[in-house]
Amino acid sequence: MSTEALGAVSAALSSIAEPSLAPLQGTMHAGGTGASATTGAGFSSMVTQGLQQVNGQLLASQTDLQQLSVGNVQNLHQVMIRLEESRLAFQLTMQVRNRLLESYQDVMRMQV
Amino acid sequence: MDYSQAFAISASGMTLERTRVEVASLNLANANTVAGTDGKLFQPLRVVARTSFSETVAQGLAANPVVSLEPTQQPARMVYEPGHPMADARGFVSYAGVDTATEMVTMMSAMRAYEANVAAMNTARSMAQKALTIGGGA
Amino acid sequence: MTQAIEAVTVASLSMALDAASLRHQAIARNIANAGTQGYVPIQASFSGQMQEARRQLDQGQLLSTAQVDAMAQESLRLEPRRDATGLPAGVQLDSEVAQMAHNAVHYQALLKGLSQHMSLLSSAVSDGKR
Repeated sequence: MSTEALGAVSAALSSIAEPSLAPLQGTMHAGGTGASATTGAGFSSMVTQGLQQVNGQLLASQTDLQQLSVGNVQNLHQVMIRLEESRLAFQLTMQVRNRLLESYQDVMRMQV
Repeated sequence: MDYSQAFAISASGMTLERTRVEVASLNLANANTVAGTDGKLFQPLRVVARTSFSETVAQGLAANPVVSLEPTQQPARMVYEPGHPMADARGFVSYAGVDTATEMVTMMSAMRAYEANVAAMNTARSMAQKALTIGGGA
Repeated sequence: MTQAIEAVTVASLSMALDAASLRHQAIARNIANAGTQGYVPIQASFSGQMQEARRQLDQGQLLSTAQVDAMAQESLRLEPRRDATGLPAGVQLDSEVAQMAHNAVHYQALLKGLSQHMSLLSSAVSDGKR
């Protein structure tokens, strides 16, 4: 996955996260707009961090695969483990994104 | 695990053992030769494989042993055959000093070592194949 | 359309697979001609660009498409094997078989890596659903 694509996704996610969280928490807590803004910002930074970690893992496994193709096999089981880890991390990210989208759509479908 | 080094190590071990068997069979084939007209007798060869520990550490595990064939200085086997064309003044013929029992033992131990190298290589190969199944099955 | 997605890794893996199958053909030819009179065994040789690519990857930088294309174009050369004195070497059966085993494991590792890579891309394309 390229870093530009993941950066765009993380920007889209953070823009979804902030407006969706802020009105919910604004209604629940009386004077908490400051708190809701920092909670929203905390969540989006968490998401961005997670995405960057997954991106780093994917780039490392791409490097490993290219090392293998050039014939530089230092550690075969390490390569396979990292490949599987990055695949699982990516699938987890996809599932998290799907749940977030579902919950956003659920919220949007609510009759005001 | 660098499986390419594992294969190279086993391959060099197998080459050494095969050389040992070839030298033993050469010695056995020349067991009953006599000295020629120039007086030179067949000297049984011996395989000397040298490896220094510091070299092994420096070059990594794939340092090959240095194999050299050196003639042993065995005394000739004297057999009393007065009618032999190559008999000396006292009627003794000097045959090559090849000890058959030693050569047979060398061959057997070389074959066992060869089998052990083959087992090591097969083990390395199945370990690499098992490592490839990490993350599979889904 | 899928050529834009991570084309470098797929191209380098398929180039390595081509090289492994060519090496297998050379080894099989050597084994088949082990008893032939006057036969000179052949071996596949690496290009110098492999060393360059290896150095680059060790520093953590991914290969570029142009590099992989250049390596694939140069295509593994088959040359006669020479021993230490420069004369053509003979066929040594056990070292040929050892090389064949090594090559087979390398081929399987490349295939496994390629299939993991493709399954990751397919899970991205299908949105995480089956």
